[in-house]
Amino acid sequence: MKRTRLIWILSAIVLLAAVSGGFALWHLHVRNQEIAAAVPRQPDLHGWNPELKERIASAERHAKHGPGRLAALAELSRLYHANGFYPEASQCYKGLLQVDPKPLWAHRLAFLLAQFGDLQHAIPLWRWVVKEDPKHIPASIRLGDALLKDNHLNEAAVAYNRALKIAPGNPYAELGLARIDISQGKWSHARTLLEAAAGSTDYAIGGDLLVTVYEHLGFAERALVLRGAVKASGAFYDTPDSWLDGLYSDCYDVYRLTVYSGAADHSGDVPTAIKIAERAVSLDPGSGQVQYQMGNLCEEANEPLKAMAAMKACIAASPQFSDAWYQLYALQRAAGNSASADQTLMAGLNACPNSPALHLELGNRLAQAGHIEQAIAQYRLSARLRPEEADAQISLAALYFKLNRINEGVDELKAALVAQPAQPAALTSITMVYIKLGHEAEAQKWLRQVSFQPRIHDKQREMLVQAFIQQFGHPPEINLNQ
Amino acid sequence: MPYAARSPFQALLVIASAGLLLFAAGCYRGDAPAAATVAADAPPVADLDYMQATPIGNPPTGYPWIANLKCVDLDQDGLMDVVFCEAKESKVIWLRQLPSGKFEEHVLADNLEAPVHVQPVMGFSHPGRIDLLVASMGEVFPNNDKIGSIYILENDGHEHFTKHLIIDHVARVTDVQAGDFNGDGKLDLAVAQFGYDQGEIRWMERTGPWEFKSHNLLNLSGAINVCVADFNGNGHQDIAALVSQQWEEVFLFTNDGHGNFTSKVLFGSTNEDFASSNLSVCDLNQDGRPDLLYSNGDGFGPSPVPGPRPWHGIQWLENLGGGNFRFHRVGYLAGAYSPVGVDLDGDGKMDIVAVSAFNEWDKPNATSLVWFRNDGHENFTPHVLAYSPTHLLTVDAGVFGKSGLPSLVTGAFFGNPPYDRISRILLWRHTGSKPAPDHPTAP
Repeated sequence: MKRTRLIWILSAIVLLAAVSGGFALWHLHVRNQEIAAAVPRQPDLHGWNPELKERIASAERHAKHGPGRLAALAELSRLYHANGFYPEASQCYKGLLQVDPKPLWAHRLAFLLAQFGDLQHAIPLWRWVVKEDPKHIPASIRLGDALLKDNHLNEAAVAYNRALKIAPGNPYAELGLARIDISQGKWSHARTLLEAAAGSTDYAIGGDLLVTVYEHLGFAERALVLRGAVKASGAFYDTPDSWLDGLYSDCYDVYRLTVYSGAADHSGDVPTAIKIAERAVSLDPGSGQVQYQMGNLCEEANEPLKAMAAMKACIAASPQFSDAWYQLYALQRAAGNSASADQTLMAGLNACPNSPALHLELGNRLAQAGHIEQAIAQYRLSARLRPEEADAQISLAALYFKLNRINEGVDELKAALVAQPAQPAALTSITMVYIKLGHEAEAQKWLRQVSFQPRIHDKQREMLVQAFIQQFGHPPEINLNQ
Repeated sequence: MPYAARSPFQALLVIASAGLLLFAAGCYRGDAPAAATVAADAPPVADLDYMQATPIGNPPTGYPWIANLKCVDLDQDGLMDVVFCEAKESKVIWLRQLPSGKFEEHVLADNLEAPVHVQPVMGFSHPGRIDLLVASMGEVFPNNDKIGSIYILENDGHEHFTKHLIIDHVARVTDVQAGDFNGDGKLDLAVAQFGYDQGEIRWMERTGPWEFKSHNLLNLSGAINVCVADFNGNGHQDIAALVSQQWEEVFLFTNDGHGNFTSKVLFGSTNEDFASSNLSVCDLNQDGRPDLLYSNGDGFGPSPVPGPRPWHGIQWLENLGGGNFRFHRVGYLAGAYSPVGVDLDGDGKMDIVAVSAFNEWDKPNATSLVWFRNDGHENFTPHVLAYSPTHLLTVDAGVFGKSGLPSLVTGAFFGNPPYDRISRILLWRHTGSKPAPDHPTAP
C-alpha cells in the first residue's frame, strides 16, 4: 500500500513538474513575444547623435532577442521618452505595463498622454498609480490637477488631500485645493491655503492667485504690495517628480535639453538647470544658444568667470547674437573691467550694428565722457531701433534734464510713456518734473497714473507727495497708497 | 498528521490544486488599467503650388508686428477688405480693395497702445454700419501692469472712425467680442485680459452709448481669446474663453439669457508648457452646433529661444450639445497660431488653416502656413502651403476674387530673429492647380 502510494505521489510530482515546466516555458515565450511586440517601429533617426542610435539599436536587439528583454524595453522607453519620440515611448510603456505592471510605467505613460491633452486616458492610469504607490506624491498632485481640469472637483480634492496627508505643506496640493475653493466661492479658505503655498515657496507658487484673492476679500493694500513685489514672474512650476526628472540624462536633443534646463531654472532649481545645460554643452559646444543659456545660468549662480567664458563661446558661435555681446559687456562692467567692457561694446556694435541695447550703452558711455551730441544720437538710434521700449528715451530725458533742456526732457518722457504706458521710472520722473515746474494740474494728472502703478516703491511715492506739498502747500488729491 | 493526505488521490488533488494556483498566479498581471498611446500625427504633404502670395498694403519697414487681422468688406462696396492691428506702431489699419483689385492703406486710428485684436461688428453704434472693437495690451511683451484698454472705433457711415475709450488701467486686454448677453437688445462685450500674473475674463453690460458696467467671470492670468456663440443650444449667447500661462484651460460660460453665467472647464492640460495660442469658433462637422478650434504653439516658455514642442498643433473641441464637448487632436504644427475654419478647396467640407509664429526658422523646411484638409469624416491631412515667409501670427479667409473660392490673408509678427524672410500683409490666392493628394507616399 505504502509503495503504491509512493508511486502515486512521485507520478504526481513528475506530472506537476512537467506541467509547471511547460507552463513556465510557455509563459516565458508569451512574455518574450509581448516584449518583442511592444518594440515600436524605429522612427527616422537621421541626423541624431550616433550614441543614441547605437543605444536604441542595442535596446531593440535585446528586447527582441534577449538577453535582458524587459530591461531592454525599459531602456528603449527611456531613450524615446527623453528624446521626444512620444508615440514610440508610449508604445513601450504600454508593453511594459502588460508584462511588468509597475506604477512607474503607468505614471510616465499618463504624463505623456497628458502632455498632449489626453486626460481621458491619463486619469485612469494615475488613479491606478496612486492606489498602487500612494507614497509617490507627484502622482497624487498630477491626478488632482487632471481631475480639476476635468471638472471632477471632489475627487481632485481627495487626491490633493491625500498628498497633503503624506507630505504636509506640499504647495502644489495647497494650490490645487485653493483653486477648488475659489471655484466654489470659499475665498477665505483659499487665502489660507495660498498664503501657506506662497509662504513656503517665496511666492513662486500661489503668489499670483493670492493677489486676486486679496482683491476679492477687500485687502487692496496687501494686493497692491504683492503685485508690486511679484512682477511678470514667468509661471512654469511643474511639481518635482523623481520618476521623470532624471530622464534628461538620456537626452541627446540639445534644444530639448535647453527646454528642460529652462524649466528647472524657472522652478528655482539652478543647480539642476546648470547640470542639464552642461550636458547640452557637452553634446554641442558650438551652439550659441546653449552657451548663452549656460552663461545666464552661471551668472544666476554667481559664477561670473564661468558666465563670461560661456558668453565668449556664444559670441564665437553666433557673432550676430547681440544679446550675448550685451551680457558679456555687462558682466565685464560688473567685474570692474572697464577696458575689456568697452572693447566688447565696440566689437559688439561692429558685429551687430542694429542692436538697440548696445547703442543705448554706447550712449551712456558717451554721455559720461561728455560727448553730449554723440550720446543723444546714440539714444535716438536706440529708440528708433526698439520703439516699443522706453529705456533709451528715459536715458535721453535724464541727459536733457542734466543739461537744463527741460522741455526736450519732458517730450522724451512722454514718448517713453507712449512706448511703455506705466514705466515706473518715466512716471516718477515726469511727475517730479511737473511738481518742480509748479504745474499742479499736470502733477495731479501724473500722480493719478502713479497711483495705478504698484511697482513704484513706497519711498518714491512718499517723496513725490512731500515734493508736492512743499511746492503747492497742500497734499495731492490722489491718495497714492490706495 | 492532521494535514496529511489520506489517499493517493487526495495527494494528487492537493498537488494539482497547488499547480492550478501557481498557474493562476503566473497568469495574473495585476489590475493595471488598459493603456492608450500617444498617436503619431499624420505626416504633412507639401502643396506649395496650391496658393500664391502677393503683398498688399505698404511694404514692410523694419520688423512688422501684425498682431491680428480680419477680412471684412468694411465699406460694404462688394469688395473684400482687410483690417489689421500693427501693435508696434499702435495703429489699426484698413486695406481697402479698389475695383482694380489693388489695395490702398488707411490708418483708421493711432495711439491705441499696442492693439492686438480687432473685431468688426455690424451695427454696434448705428444699424447698417460696421464698427470696430479693439483690444489693446499696452505692451505686448511680459508686463503685469494694469495698462490694458478697450477702444471702439465708431464708423460715421463713410469709414471715418471716431475712437471711444471704453476702459483703461486694467490688466492687458487681448480680445473683445460683442454679444447681447442680457437680452436687452443692445450689444454687450466679452473681454479677455491676459495681464501676466493676474488676468481676467469679464463681460461688460452696455448701460449707455459708450458706457458699460463690468461683471467678472474668472480671475486667471493668461486669457487670450473669447468666443461668443450659443454653445449649449438654449437660445442665448454664451462665452468660451482660452486661458494660457500655467493654467492651459478652455472655459465655457453658459448664459441663462439674463447675463448670469455658469462656468465649466471644457479642456485643460496639465502640461504647463502646452502653449495655448488661439481659440476660434467654427462648425467643423457642419452639424449645426458651433465647435471650437484651438491652437497651441506659443513658442515662449522655459526655453531661451522660442521654438517648437511635439505637442504643438491644432485641436478640435467638438460640440456634442448641451454644453458638452469632445477633444480631438487634428494635427501637428510647430508654433501653431490662428486656426480658421474654411472650405479652402470648395469641396463642401470644412477645412482648417493655421499659421506658425514660432518655428525653427533656421531650417528651410520649417512650415509657416498649413492647410488641414478634411476628408469629410473629420480626418485631416496637413498640406504645407508655405515655408516662407516666416513668423506668421495671424490668418483669415475671405472671398477676394470672382472664383468664389476663399483666399487667405496673413500677417507677420517679427519678435525674434532670424529676420531674413520678412513680410507684412500677404494675400494668398489659388493658383488654379489641384491640391496634392492627401497621402502621396502611403503604401
